[in-house]
Amino acid sequence: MITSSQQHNASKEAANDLRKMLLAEPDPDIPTGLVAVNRKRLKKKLTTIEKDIKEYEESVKLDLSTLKFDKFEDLLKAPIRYRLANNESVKEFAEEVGINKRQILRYEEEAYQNCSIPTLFKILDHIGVRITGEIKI
Amino acid sequence: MKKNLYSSAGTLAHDYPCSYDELSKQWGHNKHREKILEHAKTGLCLLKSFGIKTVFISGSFASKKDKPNDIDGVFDVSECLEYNLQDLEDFLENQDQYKLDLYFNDMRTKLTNETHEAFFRRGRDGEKRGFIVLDLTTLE
Repeated sequence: MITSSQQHNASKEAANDLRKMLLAEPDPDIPTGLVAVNRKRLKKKLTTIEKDIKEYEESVKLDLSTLKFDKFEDLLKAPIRYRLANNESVKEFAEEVGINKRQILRYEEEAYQNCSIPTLFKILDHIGVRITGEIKI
Repeated sequence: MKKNLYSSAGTLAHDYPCSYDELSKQWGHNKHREKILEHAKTGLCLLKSFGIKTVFISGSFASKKDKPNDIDGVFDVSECLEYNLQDLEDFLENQDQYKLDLYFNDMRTKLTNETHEAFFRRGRDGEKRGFIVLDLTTLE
């Protein structure tokens, strides 16, 4: 997940590079089938980057009262989306939730997939996220 | 691990030429990474059999990240144009099973010119990162 304006800019440049690569005339010495496979994969990569860019752009203007999630993965991203929506730096957020800044950076690096459940709940509690919902079996 | 291998962004500060054994030692430092390398080795052997001599590894595997998803990288397809390209095409289509996400330069430009290289050299924060320059001829 993109977690800063710096990463946002870098992702936009990466997406532009990919678009140029996809539009460029292929080397005529390379069989067309091979080029097609390569470009199909590049296109998939571009789609992923565009999705990340969109997610970031939505996060920075998110109305937190509308934050909803259907997947556990999205719950894990809630602290990042909260921080981005409040325009807080990692340092400010770390102070708010009482966790070391470096640790927050490590969590954000892996979209909180490396965060223990008790720590995640501690963070969610600090930022006022209450979880409601139902378990479907 | 050599000093100053990584930039402050956690990605390689410079290109790092290495053998497969060195790759395993330097970047296979936890169970998760070992598992990725276990899958990747089969795919990299296949790539070697197609005539590819070097793979330029970038992405999270070539970074400090503990749990990269796979091995991203790029190679020079001109090294294998006299081989069976249908096999290479099949390999590229199905490389996910080897935890590989590899691309080749398919334009008139060389690998070292802009575009493919520029893309793979750009880190998450926009920093210019180095490649692990893997010598596939060292792979057995």
